[in-house]
Amino acid sequence: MKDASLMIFRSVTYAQRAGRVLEKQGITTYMLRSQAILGGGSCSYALKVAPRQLEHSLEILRQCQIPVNGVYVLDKWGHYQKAQ
Amino acid sequence: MIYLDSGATTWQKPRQVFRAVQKAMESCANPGRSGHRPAREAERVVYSCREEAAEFFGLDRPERVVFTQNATHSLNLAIKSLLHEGSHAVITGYEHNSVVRPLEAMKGQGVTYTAVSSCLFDPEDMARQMERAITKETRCMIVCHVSNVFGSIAPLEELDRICLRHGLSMIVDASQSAGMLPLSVKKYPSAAFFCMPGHKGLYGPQGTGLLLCCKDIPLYTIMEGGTGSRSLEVTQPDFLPDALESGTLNVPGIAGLWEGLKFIRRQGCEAILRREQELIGLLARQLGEQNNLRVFAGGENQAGVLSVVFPIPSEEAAEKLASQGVCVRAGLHCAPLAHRTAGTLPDGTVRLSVSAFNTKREMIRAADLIAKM
Repeated sequence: MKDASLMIFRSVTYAQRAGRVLEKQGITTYMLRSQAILGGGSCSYALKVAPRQLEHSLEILRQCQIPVNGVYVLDKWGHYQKAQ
Repeated sequence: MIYLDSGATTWQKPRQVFRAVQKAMESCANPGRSGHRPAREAERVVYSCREEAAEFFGLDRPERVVFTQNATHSLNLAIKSLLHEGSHAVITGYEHNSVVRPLEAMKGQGVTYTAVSSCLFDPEDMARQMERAITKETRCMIVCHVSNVFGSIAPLEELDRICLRHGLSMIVDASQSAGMLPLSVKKYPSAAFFCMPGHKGLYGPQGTGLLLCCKDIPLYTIMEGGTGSRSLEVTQPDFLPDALESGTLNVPGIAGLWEGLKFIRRQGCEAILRREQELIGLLARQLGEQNNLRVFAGGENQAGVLSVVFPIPSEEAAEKLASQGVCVRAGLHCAPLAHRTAGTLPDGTVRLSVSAFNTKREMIRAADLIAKM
């Protein structure tokens, strides 16, 4: 998944639950360990999602009360930047 | 061999359970710690089992399913999370030492409890007596859903109504009922925790257990340590399941438990209960014909456990049966309170307990062997 946005979760269980919920809504994600710097210096997990599906994904997760600890998008140089 | 000790552990398991344990040992690494394939496979297995258990017991959030070592571990977490200095608990007179001993240990912290004596196989009496024991300090009821000694079924719905009426939380020890009695946590709004082993009616391997957390209450951590989350912080995460799952999980055990849960789902709890009640009823009738035995039969108020008092010491009777290939358990079954309530101290009983793998023929054969003793 190229140019993907990242949603950060506080644990592997939350990332997995989010992945399952989104999968049921037809949104493909890919789980990975997030870099420490993205996870606020902690071990955390992230879901990669296509940028065009990011907003919709966040809305679904909000409705399911699955907390997202941070959102990162790629800038034009290919570096992840925290979304506003 | 006739195995009638499923109250201790279901020794006979679905073949898929054995295969899943082995496969997990071959393919799974440590979940929640790394990003490589074996770690990812472990994460998939653990989460799938969590999700399966949540769905099976009607929990809406898989993270509310906590993997423990056994029911005792789960009960300790539940009891110590709910009871604090000055709290009082009302417990049934049929509780296991896994409830009584933590409560005794907490007496030094100002926790008190009342063990309620009630007639065996009389759910109305149990509910009546439990309500009478409530005081203004009472914070929770602890209920053994099915007695591990007598198989008597507690009136969980009525006890839940009583708890709601008095603003109490309920802890359910589902050690003997999980996988046999249909159990949806949503049916019991007062329940804070359901505690169960994975290796009995859920047909998982020994060393597995579940704690179902139904309410948002502060959690007592018996252990703190690595969780694979919030690692920069020196304090334990406060969210489930990480708060209660420190250290590496028993992944092969959980893989087996997942298959056990799927087995029960395929069989159906109602069908398993019907069958086990049929077997226990048959055994009780057969043994009831022998005048020298005291058989504790409870009809529809009894699940897959039958206690019998022999004219010889119970351990001696069990040893004789073992020598003839019948596996039973004798003595107090770690539940002296239940024996005190039923009047079977000090020798206890011989317990015959069944699983989905027992047959009518085995019941008749076991009864014949007992008759010849």
